Amino acid sequence: MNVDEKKSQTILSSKNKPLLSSPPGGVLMWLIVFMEVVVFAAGFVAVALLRTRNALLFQQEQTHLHLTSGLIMTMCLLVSGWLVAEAVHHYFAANIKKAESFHIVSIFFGFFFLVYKFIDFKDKANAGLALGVNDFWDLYWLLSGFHYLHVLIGMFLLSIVTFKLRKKRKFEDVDFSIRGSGLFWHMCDLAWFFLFPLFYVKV
Amino acid sequence: MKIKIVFALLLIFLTISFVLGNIYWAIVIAAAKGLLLGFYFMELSKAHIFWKGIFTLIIGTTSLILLVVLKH
Repeated sequence: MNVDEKKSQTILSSKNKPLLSSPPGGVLMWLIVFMEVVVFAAGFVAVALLRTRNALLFQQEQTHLHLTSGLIMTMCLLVSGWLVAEAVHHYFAANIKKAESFHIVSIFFGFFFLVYKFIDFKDKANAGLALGVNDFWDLYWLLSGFHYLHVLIGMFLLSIVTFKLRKKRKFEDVDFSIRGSGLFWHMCDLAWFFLFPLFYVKV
Repeated sequence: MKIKIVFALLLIFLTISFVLGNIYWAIVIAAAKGLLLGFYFMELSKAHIFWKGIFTLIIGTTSLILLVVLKH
């Protein structure tokens, strides 16, 4: 760790840092996360409304979704989120090697989610369960697709951080890079935590 | 160590809620995960009261709306 990073670490670990303008990860990332969560929330409410108002359709279409595969994807994101939290913790405890390892494993789980979900999307599309079939599949594709894009972006951010850690490159903004990418990743698994029960748990 | 405990608790409650197939519990656990994200994983301290408040408001309101809609 170079001198600048040590300095930033000391500053960041201080309990007396400015409050409103500097949450861990930076204001910009928190604002992005809040906006995304609000957009996702609107989608969740739409799914909940469909579940209650058109329960028969929902029940019928849910037979095409498998609880076990949903659970596997949830576990992937949950484990990945935990690993990122550990990675952030280790980075600011100056265990750079451990931070790097945790990032790599978390990327592996994220990648597994992406591949698994891609196969799931492909199966649904091949079975003719695409956009426009009915309200259930419209919401499924819009929300799952939106979430998938977020996971892709999250993976991209984590990959950049891991690459820089591996190559021992300097971060322009340590807090934004390490905690900010972690925050974005947690937002991805948070969104999935709501999506999963709404779509997969039987009516 | 605390991160591991929090993670283990999430894992246990998540599994229980899905084994039971109870969507209400699943929503409550999702909300708990959301608040943990804000409060613990992202190391928001007592001093970050504004961010804690906003986060609780969004996650709490979303969860409550979902629970009310699903119940009725």
